[in-house]
Amino acid sequence: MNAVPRQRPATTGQWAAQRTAQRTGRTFHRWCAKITGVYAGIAVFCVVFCLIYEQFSFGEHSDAMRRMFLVPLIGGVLPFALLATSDLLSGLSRVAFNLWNSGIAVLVSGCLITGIIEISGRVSDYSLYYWIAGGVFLVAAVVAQFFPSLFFHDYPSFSYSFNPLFRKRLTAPMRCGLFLCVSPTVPIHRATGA
Amino acid sequence: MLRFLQKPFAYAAVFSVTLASVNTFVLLKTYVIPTVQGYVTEVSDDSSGSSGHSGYSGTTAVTKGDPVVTDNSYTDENIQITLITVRYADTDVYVADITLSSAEYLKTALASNTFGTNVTQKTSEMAAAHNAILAVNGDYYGASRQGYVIKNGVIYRDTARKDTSYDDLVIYSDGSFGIVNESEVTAQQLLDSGVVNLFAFGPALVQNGQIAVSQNQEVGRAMANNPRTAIGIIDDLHYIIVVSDGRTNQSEGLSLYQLAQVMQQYGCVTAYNLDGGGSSTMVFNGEVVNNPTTNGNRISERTVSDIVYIGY
Repeated sequence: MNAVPRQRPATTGQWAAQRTAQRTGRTFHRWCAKITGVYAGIAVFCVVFCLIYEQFSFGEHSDAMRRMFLVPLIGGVLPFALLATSDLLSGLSRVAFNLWNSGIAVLVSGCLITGIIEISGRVSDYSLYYWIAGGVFLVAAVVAQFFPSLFFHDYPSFSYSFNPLFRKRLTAPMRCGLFLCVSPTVPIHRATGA
Repeated sequence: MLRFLQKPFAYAAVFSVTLASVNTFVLLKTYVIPTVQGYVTEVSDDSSGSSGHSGYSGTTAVTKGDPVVTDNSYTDENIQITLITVRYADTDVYVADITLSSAEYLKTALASNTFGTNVTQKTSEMAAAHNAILAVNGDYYGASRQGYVIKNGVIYRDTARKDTSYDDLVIYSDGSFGIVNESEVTAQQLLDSGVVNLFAFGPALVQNGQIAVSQNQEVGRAMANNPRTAIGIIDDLHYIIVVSDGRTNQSEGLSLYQLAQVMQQYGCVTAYNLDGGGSSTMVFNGEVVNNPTTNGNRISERTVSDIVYIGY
């Protein structure tokens, strides 16, 4: 079978959209399942790491370190399991994926560093910065996924983010809510000619 | 730039290195990098003790006489110290019974005579530098950026600690002890009321002769027996300083409640828990008398921010 030569994108936005559109359908579901497994492994590692660390901490423990596993569990396993088992999204932007992973990594680091400092009997002065930075990464990931025009002014369409099939199943109130969510991007699309 | 974000391995590599660098910096800043915020200056005898970081000490003519020093005692005109070792709850406990003629012989010292975070020195080194007869670790003020720091009549930090569940121990110029909460009084008010030394660790072990901690109460989130350091007052200018071993095969360590029991048994009216764990160190006549643990079960003296000592 001859592979279809990929057309070189003319703009950054087209290039981003092309990359996003590569993972669709069953391929996308399998990929999300794989990412779910990776995040599950990270969550298990967090639990094991905390248990081992507490074995050598003379009875000290840190709530931040004990809850560290929740970050990859809630921020990784749950959303990607949802994507793997539903048609919520038809594809995932690489930019959004990178930023989301970064947010999770920052939050896990925050839990880890805070836990180490707390267990040593000190007070962490930097925890807040981790939570803020992690939150910024996660928000940026959501924005990059659902409002790519903010990242790519020449992004051809945001329809890659929402699965058209999924949108057809939405009830009227849900469509209204979806419209309210995406409507702020319409002027941007018009202004940028996208 | 945005194209770069879409390259999975390049982005992951740069981000991982950046995050690891930030984490390393935070840990170094917390544990290693010293931040000097002030220096202790000695006070001349004719000084009023009001300039800069000066202490109240050194304003009285001292006559030591001829001290009588043994392995477990020190006696001169102004200071009497008896050191005994008892076995309590499978733990070696070192008890120093101290009687002074004046409160000015109960002093504190900062590591390297410097106020700051991560400025540390071994208890024995600080004791030697100040010619201390008896010295134990203090409250390790440098472990936090919060909590009042008043040493030898000088306010070094007036930021109240956020965790108000623990009280502070204050030592007044007449040598009496008091328990205060930083949420209820400012550092300046304490200084104005005659406080010359303050320890912000805790909790208070004995108040009004009664044990003030519950059987399950622990420092921070510790739920195990540990090496401990505590100071208490029995009567006017009559003090007890206790250090217990722990984390070793010979000594299990004490819980806070057990430590409070020890302090109560010796008749303490007020007793307070100082920094413990690997920090717990007692130095008497230049020798470390307990078995301080550092980094686990290794018998080694840990560096700390400050000491409380008896000396001239």
